[in-house]
Amino acid sequence: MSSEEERLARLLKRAVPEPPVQLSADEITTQSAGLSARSWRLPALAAAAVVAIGVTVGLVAAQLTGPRGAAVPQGVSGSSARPSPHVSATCQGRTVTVPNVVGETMDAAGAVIQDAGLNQGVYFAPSTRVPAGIVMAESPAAGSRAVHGALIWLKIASAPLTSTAAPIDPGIEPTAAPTTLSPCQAAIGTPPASNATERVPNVVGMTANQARYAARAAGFSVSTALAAPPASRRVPPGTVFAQEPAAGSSARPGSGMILYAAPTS
Amino acid sequence: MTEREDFADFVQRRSGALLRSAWLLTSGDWALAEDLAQTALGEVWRHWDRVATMDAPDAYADKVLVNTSLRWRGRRWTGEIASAELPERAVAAGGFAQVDVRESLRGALRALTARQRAVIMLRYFEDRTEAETAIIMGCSVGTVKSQASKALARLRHVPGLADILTEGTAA
Repeated sequence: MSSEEERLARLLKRAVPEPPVQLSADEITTQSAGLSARSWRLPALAAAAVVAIGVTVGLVAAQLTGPRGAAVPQGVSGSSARPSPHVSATCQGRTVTVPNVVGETMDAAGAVIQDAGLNQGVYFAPSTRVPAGIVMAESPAAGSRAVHGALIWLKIASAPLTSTAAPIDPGIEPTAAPTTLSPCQAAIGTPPASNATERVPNVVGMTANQARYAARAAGFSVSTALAAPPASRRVPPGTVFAQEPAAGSSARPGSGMILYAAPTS
Repeated sequence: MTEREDFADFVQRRSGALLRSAWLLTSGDWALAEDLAQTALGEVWRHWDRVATMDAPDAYADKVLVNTSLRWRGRRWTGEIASAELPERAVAAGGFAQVDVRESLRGALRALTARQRAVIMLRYFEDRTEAETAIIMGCSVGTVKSQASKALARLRHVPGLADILTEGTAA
């Protein structure tokens, strides 16, 4: 060791202060017991993420359908934001009974759902029998069990159409009979599509025109949105980079499909 | 003696030294140092059945401590804090001199990389040989030498340490 190194060694020993605390073995052993419990954290996080996605989708749907309680003639939300029914996750946690809100106004129903510890997503359907703004159906059905925080879909009556334009069919409809959804299915909110038989084609990567043609040929009513693609992806101008519903899912023939294409510069 | 009591004994005996080493590795941040020592000891406890029979459990604990601090680099603290102005120096008289040196050392450690801090800690604070340091850090003796000399070169330029290192007045 050089004299400089020796001086550094002396300096370190002198300058490093005495620790203000003592570590205890008890704390360490319990802490590492916590570490070994990591194995369950990942599935739990995954389940939480799935629930969060479901809730977000519900909120987006609620926003898309316009002002609360207003008579919106078409339920774009249903087709575009329907979560995939094939998602499954291990879920745990306490469950609650889905309250009956059929016949309530949308606002009152929302309050009841939230009081029960659940979240609601809404979509609208024209009705001649039920006054606008009233809940016609809910899914999962009243009385079934759902995980705390699960998404409950409410079908809200809207005024019958007076416009001559063809409505975009949401492609989904709640079943009338009580469903026997598992709490897991309830957690991710699955509005059932009663006669959703058409397979949604994959049109991502096509030019907007090709994609429109392909989607129409498959029996869907197509609308195209120009949007900036995610920064992480290189998308040629005019090319479809995302679609709703997702390729491979099933939807009712004639229902709406949204294509997202990169703008042509 | 049970495993648990064995480990409690080890913690009792080593916690002070580990905390002081961790203080150096974290550039003098007690909160982080405590975290670091605790995490390292947690790791030791997980492999205690193996560690207990080792010839040098202390060196193993050091190895875990150093590796953990290198892994944390960039996650828990960025280490180097660039500052145009140097902190005001305390009055260099009486009891304040000690504080002054400590503050200089803190600033000096921040100027080092995490690996350099580890070499400094093992080599000059724990007085390990270059060979031992190399084994603990999992690198060659040559790397230990070069890291140590780079670290010294940097420390030489830190105000408040320079005179101590070159003249040895405060030693």
